[in-house]
Amino acid sequence: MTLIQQNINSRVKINKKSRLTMAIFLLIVCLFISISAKADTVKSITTPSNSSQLAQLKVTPKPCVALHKGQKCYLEVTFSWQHPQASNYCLVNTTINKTIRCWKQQTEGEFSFDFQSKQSNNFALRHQESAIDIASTAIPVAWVYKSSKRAKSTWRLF
Amino acid sequence: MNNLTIKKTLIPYLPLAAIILAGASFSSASFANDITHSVRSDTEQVGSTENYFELGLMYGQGSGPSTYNNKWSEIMLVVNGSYSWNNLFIEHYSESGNGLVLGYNAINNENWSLDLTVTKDLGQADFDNNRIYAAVNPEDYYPLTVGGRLTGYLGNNIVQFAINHDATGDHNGTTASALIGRNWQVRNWNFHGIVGVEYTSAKLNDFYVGVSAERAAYVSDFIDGFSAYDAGASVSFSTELGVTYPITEDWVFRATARAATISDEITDSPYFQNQDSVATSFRTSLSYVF
Repeated sequence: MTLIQQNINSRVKINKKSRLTMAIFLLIVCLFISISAKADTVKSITTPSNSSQLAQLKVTPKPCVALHKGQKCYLEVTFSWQHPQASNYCLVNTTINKTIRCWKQQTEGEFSFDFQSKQSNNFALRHQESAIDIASTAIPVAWVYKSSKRAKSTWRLF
Repeated sequence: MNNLTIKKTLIPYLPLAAIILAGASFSSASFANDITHSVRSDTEQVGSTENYFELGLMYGQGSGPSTYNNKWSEIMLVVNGSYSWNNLFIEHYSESGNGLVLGYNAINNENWSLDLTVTKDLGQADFDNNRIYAAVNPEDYYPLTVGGRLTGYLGNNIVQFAINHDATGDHNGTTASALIGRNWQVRNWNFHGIVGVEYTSAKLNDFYVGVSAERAAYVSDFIDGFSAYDAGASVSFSTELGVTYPITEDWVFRATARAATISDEITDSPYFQNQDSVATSFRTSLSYVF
């Protein structure tokens, strides 16, 4: 009887504690959501180049976050660009020097792209057949756990 | 003396163990392409989390043999971290049954790592039942154990063998376990699967769920059928599937489902009013990594 009573008492205490921790948990979640929402509103950053302060190239969302350093990071991103003068423009990944998409006689464009990389990548808007960046931006790759050393610790740390 | 000694065969657990192993094998096979593509680098760097600290909240619920109600749910604090210095390390992982671990890394080569550890290992029956031994025996819930764990990084798999023995002379019990796990990355989701088997000595089991003749005689005045009980050694099979997702550079989401067999040697104790032979649990958490 004593044992059962102790058990019931401990369960009641746990329930009270659970309600308090649930309230704290919800508070943290709400705080986190509000912070994330703010982050979404400022993540479109334009980096005009010196060659043309009027051109705009931006990519959303960013950064790309993977769990462990060295892992490939995946992110569905959308590039959008604008330029006051219609011309032939190309979006180029300047990190690997690869043209992603070109537009003919356009003043703006948009392109969705499945980003996959183990490192941060830089992108630029260029005139077709030109190596000069009109505007540039980047998709930074970040990791939660930044050590590249193998853990001595438990197998549970997946 | 009115001690009741019940020796149980392990044979009833074999079909369940076979199902668990088959399930784990299927899970692994179905993601073979992703493993082939990613585990070579991921395994070497998986758990690449030395010297980190994170705080969060975890919600868990489960069911299993119990002293009162076979279902439980709880919200608990997540404190995960690891710090190493000159082969000495301290670590804590809230989703582990061991809690705080102090250790020394004695051997660490390309494929194998041997740690000598001081921790608190009460076996899976305690962890998979939401630390049930604290309800049965709260004043003796914190005996320290000393032991070792050998971890191997073998191709796509991580294996770990561990043995722990009571260091504080409370029960002189021993646990020994063998686990195999692997992970695979699907985009930014990191899935993992683990299967394992654990032996727990009769001394440890009897310390927590055994009933002396004196206690039985006292309690039986209040509860009919509360008889003396000597617990024997037990073997438990377990499987775990989980996923970890980096929400941002600082926030990590985790979800883990576990199932483990609980031996009759434990559940036949008169402490247990519910004698389920399998404990299941689901835990999910949100953590901030500093």
